[in-house]
Amino acid sequence: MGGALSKQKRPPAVSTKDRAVLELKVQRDKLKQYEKKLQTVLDRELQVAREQLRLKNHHAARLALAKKKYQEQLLRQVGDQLLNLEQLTSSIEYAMVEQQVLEGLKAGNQVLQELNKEMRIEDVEKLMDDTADAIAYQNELAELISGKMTEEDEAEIMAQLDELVEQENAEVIKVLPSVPKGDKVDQHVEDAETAPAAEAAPAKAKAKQAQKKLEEPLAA
Amino acid sequence: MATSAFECPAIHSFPPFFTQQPTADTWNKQRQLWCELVLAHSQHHRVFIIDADEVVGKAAPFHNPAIRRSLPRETVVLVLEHLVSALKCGEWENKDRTRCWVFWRKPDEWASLIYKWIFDTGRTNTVCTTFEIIHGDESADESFHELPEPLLMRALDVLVKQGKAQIFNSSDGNAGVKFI
Repeated sequence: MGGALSKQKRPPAVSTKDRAVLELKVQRDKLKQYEKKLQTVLDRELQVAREQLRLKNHHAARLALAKKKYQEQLLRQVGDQLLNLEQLTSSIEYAMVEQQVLEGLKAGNQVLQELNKEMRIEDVEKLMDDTADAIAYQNELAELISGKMTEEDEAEIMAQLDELVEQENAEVIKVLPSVPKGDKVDQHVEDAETAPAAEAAPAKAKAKQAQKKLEEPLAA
Repeated sequence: MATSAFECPAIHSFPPFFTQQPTADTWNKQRQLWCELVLAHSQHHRVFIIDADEVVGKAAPFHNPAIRRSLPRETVVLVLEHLVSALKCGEWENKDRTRCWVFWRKPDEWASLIYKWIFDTGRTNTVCTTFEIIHGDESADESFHELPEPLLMRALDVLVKQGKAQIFNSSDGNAGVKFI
């Protein structure tokens, strides 16, 4: 897996800190083993006590229980020591992490300072001024060019809009239901029919006007 | 670990299976089946080492009391030899070929399992003891828990070659691993 990569990245040498942590962890493992042993002895003593009680041998049972008591005491001490060791190991490991964080921060700070050195305020100000000038020039150019374009464009747009409106009105008229017979309804439909027509009329006029407008500059 | 009983294939109840077949082709096939059976059986019961002297006539799968058949010792050795030299799924512990490691998982497979655990539990860049890896409470649910130490060392050697671990010893000779 990643033969080239692993060859490139030679692992850093084992430091004395690593060795110290290993010593602590080895001691911890030994204590854990000792704890296991104490536990088995303890269980065994309890078993012996029960056995002796069954045999009505009170003295031996008492002795076994006393032994068990002693083992329990030891077990507690071992537990405390284990806790101590683990605390110490975690402290060391945490300190190592902190050290790495600090180194990371240092490196970051250095890079930031170097970058800042490359970017002097006067340079930036000058650059910003130049940019502003360039933008202003560009705007001027755009205005010059677009100024001529607007009139023609507007006329075309208006013409197209009017055409669309007209088409829409035509559709509406087509879709309208046929006129039913009856006085009241008749009145109502008349209103509805005249309305789009009235709307369409000025639109047509507008379209014509726009057409004229479009032709005018061409004629001139 | 093994909660359910191991189910032997049907051929295990076939008496000739326990006798080395004279025809080369048949024997090759038979040997292959035996190797597969040994690997599957060892994996199921988490057997890491097979002692030819101890299994003959006693232990499954080399012994089938139901049909009163046992694989003879020299055939057991032949099967294990095939496992070691042809399939690369085993290794003799010593030169006299009595005890044989069974690699139902090869060292590099163990290596990647261990490294995955190390990575998943955030142990990279820390120092671990070998005891912690195979006997520690935190690895109790892992498949490599209670892995024999020699196998662990083989797996760690693989990780060292990959540049993912470094092995060093404490003052009293206990091995420690620093994972990168």
